[in-house]
Amino acid sequence: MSAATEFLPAVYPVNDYGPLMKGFVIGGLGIFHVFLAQFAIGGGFLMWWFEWLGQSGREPAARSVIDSVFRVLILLSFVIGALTGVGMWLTAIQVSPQTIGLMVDEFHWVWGIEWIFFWVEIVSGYAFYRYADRLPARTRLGLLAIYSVAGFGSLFWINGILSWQLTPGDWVQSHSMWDGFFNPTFWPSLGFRTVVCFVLAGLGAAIVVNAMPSLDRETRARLINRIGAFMLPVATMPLFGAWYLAAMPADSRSWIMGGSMTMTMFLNIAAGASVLIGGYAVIGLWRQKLYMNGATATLLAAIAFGATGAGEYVREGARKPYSVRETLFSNATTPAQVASLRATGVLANDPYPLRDAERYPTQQLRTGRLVYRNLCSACHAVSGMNGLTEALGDWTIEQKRMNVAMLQWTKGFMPPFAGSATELEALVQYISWEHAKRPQEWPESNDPEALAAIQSWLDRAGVLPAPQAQQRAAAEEAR
Amino acid sequence: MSGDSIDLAPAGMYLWLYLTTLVLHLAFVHYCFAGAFVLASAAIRGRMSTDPIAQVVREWLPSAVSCAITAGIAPLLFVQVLYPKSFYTANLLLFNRWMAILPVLIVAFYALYLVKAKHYCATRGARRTVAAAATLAAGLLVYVAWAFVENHLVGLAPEAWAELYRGGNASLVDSPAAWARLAMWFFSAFPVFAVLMGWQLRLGAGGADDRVREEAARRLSASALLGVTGAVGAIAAYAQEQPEFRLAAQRAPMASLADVTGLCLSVVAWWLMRGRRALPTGLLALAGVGALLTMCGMAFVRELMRVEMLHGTGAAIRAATPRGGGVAFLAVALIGVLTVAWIIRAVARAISPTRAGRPTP
Repeated sequence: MSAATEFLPAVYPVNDYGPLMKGFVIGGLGIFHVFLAQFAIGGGFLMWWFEWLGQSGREPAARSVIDSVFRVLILLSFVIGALTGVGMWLTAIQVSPQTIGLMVDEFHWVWGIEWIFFWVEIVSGYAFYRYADRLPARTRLGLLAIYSVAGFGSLFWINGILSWQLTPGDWVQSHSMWDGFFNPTFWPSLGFRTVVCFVLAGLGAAIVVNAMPSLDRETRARLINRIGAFMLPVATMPLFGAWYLAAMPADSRSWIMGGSMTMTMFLNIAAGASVLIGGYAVIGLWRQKLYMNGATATLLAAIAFGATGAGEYVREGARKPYSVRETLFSNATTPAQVASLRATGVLANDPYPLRDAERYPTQQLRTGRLVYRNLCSACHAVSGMNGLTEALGDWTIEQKRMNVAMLQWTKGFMPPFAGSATELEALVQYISWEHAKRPQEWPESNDPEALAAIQSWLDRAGVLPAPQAQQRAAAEEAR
Repeated sequence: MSGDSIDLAPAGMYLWLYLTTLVLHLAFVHYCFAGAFVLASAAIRGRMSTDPIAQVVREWLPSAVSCAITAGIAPLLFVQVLYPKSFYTANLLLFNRWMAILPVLIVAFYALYLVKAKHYCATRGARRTVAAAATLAAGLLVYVAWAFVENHLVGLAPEAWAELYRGGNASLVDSPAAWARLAMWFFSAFPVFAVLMGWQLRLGAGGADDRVREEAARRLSASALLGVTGAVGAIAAYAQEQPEFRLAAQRAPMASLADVTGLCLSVVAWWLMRGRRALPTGLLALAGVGALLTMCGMAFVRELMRVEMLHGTGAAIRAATPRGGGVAFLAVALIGVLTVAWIIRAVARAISPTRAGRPTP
């Protein structure tokens, strides 16, 4: 067992989300938070630039925009942004305490550093918000510079943790925090996100400029063109995107480049939306000096929200079957634990009872429900989003047994089954019972031949995830 | 050192960081908690525009809530390093009632911003809206306090986790200990609030003059003394209901001494300020030291109640120690403190009366 995972507590209570998928809950909140946070980070740089434009006499109206943008930043980012950030932590605990536990264990100092940046951001932000009209020019500029750097700093540090989940790099061997932090996708991810920050801030500022009744049309047009210039880094987005793709593990790349149609579709949505917004900013606003009215800016911001959502979905999905690559599977088992759980059973250490035990006609179904709770519920509803009854229900019983036993071979982005043959049979019976609309009577299956077949499939599949298992099989074949 | 024992050096460091950041967080939380009640009381009585304390609170409360949330991130981090199992389990057992603190805080925050918008006090109808918003914010903050009380107490009771899970609703609404703990929160907020508000008025917040400060001294000392009295009663009730708390207080005589000393200093300082009808620097500092001592002592005793749980995570703490970044954290913390100090100094200089009226370049 690796040093990083041997301390993970085995079992936590698991809550039922009904037809919802846990990933959907955390994903929804995460997309919202990322969108707001990136808007706020870019907003800092935009205001600093506008302040400089105003002070240097290049754009006299720029300073009036700053006060309006800052009010939006305070009301949105300092309130909802900050609370959804805390919410991400609390939701991550709800979804996978083992994953967040590992991340905290490994990167608590990085989070501590990010906390310092939050403080600097909030103090400089409120100081500017409250006293900007009474501050000398240099102090105004200085405060906005500090605010921008602090905001960017928080992105810099959290980016290392998030990109580590997909590409832990040398950390897998060295367990050096810095190896994990400066991982293969750190720089392309940071570059990409920074560009997104600039674009979102530009769109937000365009909405604010259009909503300012004190500005005449000509001034607005000038400001909008300045905003267009601010969004120009969007031209580098394809570069960072390609770099990110190149740095991804090959199997993850294959999922999003056609291997998984859903992920490929979301990638295309994100890329297409980015091209639309970027093209409008570079060609329309900067080259042709077009005017962007409030409706267009709002529409583009909505499209950007969609692109953020699609992009985050792809980033999360590409990690499958891991929540931390090569270390922790999505269902919070570690590769090293799978072998021992096959022997002991996954329920051996689960102290938490079923809340509705009386609902199940047999003990085997209760066991099946518990196996589902421990191994499947992190990503699947019983029926609903990513529902097991929809995915497996129509298979024959033999198909279910074999496909679940050889899970990582059945679907490359699934982890290996981490329980005993008896537990697997219970799970198969439970899914079949749910699919049959929970009849009152359901026979227990204790067929020794079926259990022996399951065991042989489990043995054949092994405990490694598909890519590693394939590599090992190829090596053995070559020998 | 045996496998399960606590490696005291790293555990001590994380405990120290946890307690330090927790006390910082609590200072803001107490200000917000008591401040919300002061605000609601003034709004309900229609004294929002004439009450100098309410005016300062109204102006500063949204920022203070922001600071309380930001300050809360560090203890939230270190509690995960120290007690992952109990903290995560309590989160999961309380589930939607715990997660509700997020939307609740968002609503409370915007309610406070609504109250802050001065033009809402212009008409009678608007004043009712402000009173409703202030009362709502205070009520929502009580909910958040209750959620934290439940989380802490559920985390302390691993033997009850399986049954709480089976029940599907790990509510402590029937627990006298939980109510006593909430009462501790409620009452102890007022002495801390009084100290911070005293300093704000002393430093000229809200354009306070001598007459305002005289009135404020009377009211703040009354609320602080009532708060101390109520807190002592709540502590006694909590000790009665929670034997582990009593035991922890006995095991840490220095922390208990700090509690008692802090309470005594607070009482003496506020009693004198009440008599003098003034907020002199020395007495405010004395009341501040008293409040700080009490918060530190209480936080330490609170921690002793669950320090045994560190045994289970001793290995995790050892493993966490060699993780890189500790030096970087210290360096960034130093730079952060210097930057914040620069910001405060630069702003204070710019807005000081001697510079007032100078044109902005």
